[in-house]
Amino acid sequence: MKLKIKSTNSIKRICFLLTNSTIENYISTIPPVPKVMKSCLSHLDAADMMQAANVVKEDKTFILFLSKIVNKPIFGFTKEIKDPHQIFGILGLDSAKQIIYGYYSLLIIPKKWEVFDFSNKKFQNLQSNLIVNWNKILDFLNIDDKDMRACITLLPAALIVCEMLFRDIKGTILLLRESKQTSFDELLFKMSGNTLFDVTSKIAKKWEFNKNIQDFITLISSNKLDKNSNMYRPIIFLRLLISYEMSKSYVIQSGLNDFFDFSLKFDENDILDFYSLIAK
Amino acid sequence: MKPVFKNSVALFYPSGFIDGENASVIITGLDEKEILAKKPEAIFVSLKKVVFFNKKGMAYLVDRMLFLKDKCAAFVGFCDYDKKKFHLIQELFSHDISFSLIQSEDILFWFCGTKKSEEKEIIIYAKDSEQKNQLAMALIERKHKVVISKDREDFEKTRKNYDFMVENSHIGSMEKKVSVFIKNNIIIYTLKSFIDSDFAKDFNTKYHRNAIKVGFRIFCFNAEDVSSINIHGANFLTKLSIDGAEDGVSIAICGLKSGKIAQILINDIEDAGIILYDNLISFFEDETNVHQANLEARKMLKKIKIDRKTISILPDVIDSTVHTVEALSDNSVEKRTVNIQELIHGDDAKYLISIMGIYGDMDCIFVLVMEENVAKEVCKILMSEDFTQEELKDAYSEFSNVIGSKVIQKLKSKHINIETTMPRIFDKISEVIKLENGHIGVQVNFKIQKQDMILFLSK
Repeated sequence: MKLKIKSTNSIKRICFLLTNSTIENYISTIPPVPKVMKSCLSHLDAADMMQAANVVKEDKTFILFLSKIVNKPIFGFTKEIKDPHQIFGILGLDSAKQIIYGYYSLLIIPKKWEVFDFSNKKFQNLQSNLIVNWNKILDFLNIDDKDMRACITLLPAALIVCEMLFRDIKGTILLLRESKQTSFDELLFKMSGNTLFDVTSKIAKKWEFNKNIQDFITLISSNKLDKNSNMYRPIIFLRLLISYEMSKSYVIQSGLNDFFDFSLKFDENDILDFYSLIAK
Repeated sequence: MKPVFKNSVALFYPSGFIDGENASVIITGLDEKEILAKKPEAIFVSLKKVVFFNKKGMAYLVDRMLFLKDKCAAFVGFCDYDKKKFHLIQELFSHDISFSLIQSEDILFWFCGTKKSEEKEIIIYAKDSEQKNQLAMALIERKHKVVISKDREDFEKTRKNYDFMVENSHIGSMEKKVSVFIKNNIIIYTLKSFIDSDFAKDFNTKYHRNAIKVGFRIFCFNAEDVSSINIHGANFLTKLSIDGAEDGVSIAICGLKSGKIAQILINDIEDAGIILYDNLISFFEDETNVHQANLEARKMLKKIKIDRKTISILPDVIDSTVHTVEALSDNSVEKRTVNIQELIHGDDAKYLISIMGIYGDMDCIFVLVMEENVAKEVCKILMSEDFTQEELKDAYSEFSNVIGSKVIQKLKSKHINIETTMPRIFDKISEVIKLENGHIGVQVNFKIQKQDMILFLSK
């Protein structure tokens, strides 16, 4: 796509390339959540795991996804698990819900990544790491909020959003980043007034996630985080977790390392708590 | 992680966590190759976006930076950190730090880089008095006015009287190598400790030869920090001067005091046409040096015809150039003519010209000529809004460097290994034509916004 605007500010120059309406158009192309998933979730909400497993049993793509995720080394199972009844039984209600939400991302995942040297396998690795580490964090913070626990697998959707939105202007974006070291999140915000998590929250709305989850996702990149709010510590730890996962070598090699730029300064004790919790 | 090259400084910007798991992908073997090809004056890792680091991760980065320092004599270390991180790094390395710590990226450019900065009055504080002096010396060398605080109390009391200050910084120990930087189109080699047969062996003559080839004609060896020069070191410098004379190259040495070298060797050096100055300041005060470096272009005495091998890389050079120009400007670039000829231009418009030496698997010269208005357009992103002519030339140099690294990468994928010199920037095309002296090369004429852009490749 060619540049057309003459302006002294390089970021302003490319603003017209990505606007709010581009984002709305993109969201309108996102498919709704399949009925079978909705039905499975409602059975899990009713704590009926047997029925939930029966519902998804016929969806081969989902079974494949499920077994790929739970058989990642980070889950620590010694034998390969394939049967949905077994998987749901071992995972328990909350984790089963987390993984079903994670499956939603497959609805929008690109067949081929163009902006980043990423793959669907790496994407699932990231999802698995986030699930396991986020559960450790919530246990450490003594937080027992099912919504908060469940929404973690939706967060990597921000990566897909970035891939899809920047795809057409990839060359220009990469050149800009080469010279100015602006994070992808900051670029999107300067262009459209939306952070990547704002866009992810809009996707959550389309997929009928409840309002708490939508608000929680928006808060991740918000600068107006109230220190006295209940959300403060989980959001801080979630930012640290995202930062940590995005610093993994396979992510850096994919060109995704400088994805977000959380301007908030982290408290030293929080960093040490986090590192000893996750890296041990 | 690709380093960003700014004013002859290679900067890495990791974010998040640095530990043993990811450090090896922050500075990779490929990055090292690119750095060795570009030979920047400094290599720094910015900690601005880093949340946490541990010793294993930092030790790996230090190891790689010291390796690069050893290979290309660069100033290396970390920048962009707060007081806590500064103390933490010192503790991690048990206060035995062979790399440098500079508190911010802006301050880093007071110490190194090709960016011409205003003369600043800076107050310095460091707990260690040797460090205080090291920091002061490094800044004075760059022509800043420096005031050293006696102690912390003095610093706290007087800092408000100064616009700029340096604290929480550390200059790593210097080793006996040559570092290179460019100022006013003059190449300055900074010499350290002993200049002997090892110096002659380690000196990058390939780089020196290619710098001459792209039009640098004044070379200054800053020997202010040298302990002594023996007969082997002196012979090497005189040989360099005599060899260069054929190409119209002048060599100067600063800070060569009698205690460092025998009088008979000083006589030999002067007989070889080397001009001696007391220090770098007096060298730059001699206006003839700057004048000559900027206005006169060396004539190439030997005419070498372009060969098939050089022409074979033309598509990659064109592709890298056009792609970069189109991406950074509003317009498409239209290729008009390709001819094998001397470098010629159509009219007397204002131009900016960069010349880079390409060497390695092949040797050639890459000239990129742009009308100044087009150059301003493509360099906008690299400059402030109210840029000066100097900034424009710096930005054009950075922009040419980007193209150079793209060409290196493209050719590497075809198993052709090349390196490029720093771009030499001219603002008069007549100087470049004089430099090329009727050399036959391949000239590609482009039009962008109805203005001229010329790419010229010659031996």
